[in-house]
Amino acid sequence: MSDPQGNRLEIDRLVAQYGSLVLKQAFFYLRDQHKAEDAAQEVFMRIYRKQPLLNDEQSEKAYLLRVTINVCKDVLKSAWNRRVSPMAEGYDAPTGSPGPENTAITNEERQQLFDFVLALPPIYKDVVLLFYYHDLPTSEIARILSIPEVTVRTRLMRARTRLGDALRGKRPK
Amino acid sequence: MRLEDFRDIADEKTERLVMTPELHRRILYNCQKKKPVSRSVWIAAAACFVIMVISGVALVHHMDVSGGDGMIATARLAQGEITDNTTSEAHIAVSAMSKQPVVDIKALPMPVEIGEYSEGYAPARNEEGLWGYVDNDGEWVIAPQYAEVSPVKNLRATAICTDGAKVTPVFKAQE
Repeated sequence: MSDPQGNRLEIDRLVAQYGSLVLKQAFFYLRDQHKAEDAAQEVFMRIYRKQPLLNDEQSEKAYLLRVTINVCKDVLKSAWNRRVSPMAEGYDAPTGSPGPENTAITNEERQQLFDFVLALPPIYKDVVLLFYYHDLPTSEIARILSIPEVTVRTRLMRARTRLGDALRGKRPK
Repeated sequence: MRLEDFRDIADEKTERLVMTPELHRRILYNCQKKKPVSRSVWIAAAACFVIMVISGVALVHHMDVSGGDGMIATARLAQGEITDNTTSEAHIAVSAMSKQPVVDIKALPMPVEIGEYSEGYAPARNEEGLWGYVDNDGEWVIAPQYAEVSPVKNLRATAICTDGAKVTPVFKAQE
């Protein structure tokens, strides 16, 4: 699409429809609200410049997630971020109040699970977020990450194993 | 506790991390502000510039005093270009893009030497040794600017510019 007016409207719609999704996804990687906002800016600028032809909502969501993951990985690669170890940084997350009905899992356990996922190595984190948070099928995840579907399933399985080990107090391999 | 529980927990933890109108506006503004000029536009602009430079070296202007046939003289601009002179029978016009100052042909000093007349015109030389053409009255019709000139034959002549380029001045028939 080469029409600037069309581009502006399209980006407007994409920001409105997927902005929060992009922000949250960026937050899962960058663990800082301001960094997530900067990353969201970069995501939509890349999309604005590239002007991809997206057929449907499923493609749109998948595309946006792919760009977000790539932007976040670029951010994390930069020297400034390398100094921070994955576990050391606290979360700047704006938190809502916990639901009163969550008696099955304690707040501490909830925090543990949250910490665990966000501390996963990127290859597991990618698949876990896309599968468990975004509820995407493994075929779609494979397309987004440009990896074979069997690899997606293997990594999900290994992520579950790691969680089990973490709960049992075992160190990950 | 399972990975299936992550979604609810994550939603809760990021409940307030949403796209605000302010952030939305800022993103749109920056997208449009930082949109780069496309590569094809730069290439087109560079090509136009090059074409202008090349074609801007010589621009031929045709002036027909009798209002009749248009004889177009081909000439390469060298030193001492002449202006259009409405009293002259033949002209070689000056390009507006020429680097040399335009010469007022009427203000030129009289030729030092006038060659043989043919068809109403004669080659003529100035003090600096440059050649042009004069009419029957000894008035310059083509300002002295050439290293060598030939006599007019069939209303045409050959002139060699100081840089060696060859041009073909074209003349109007004298009555």
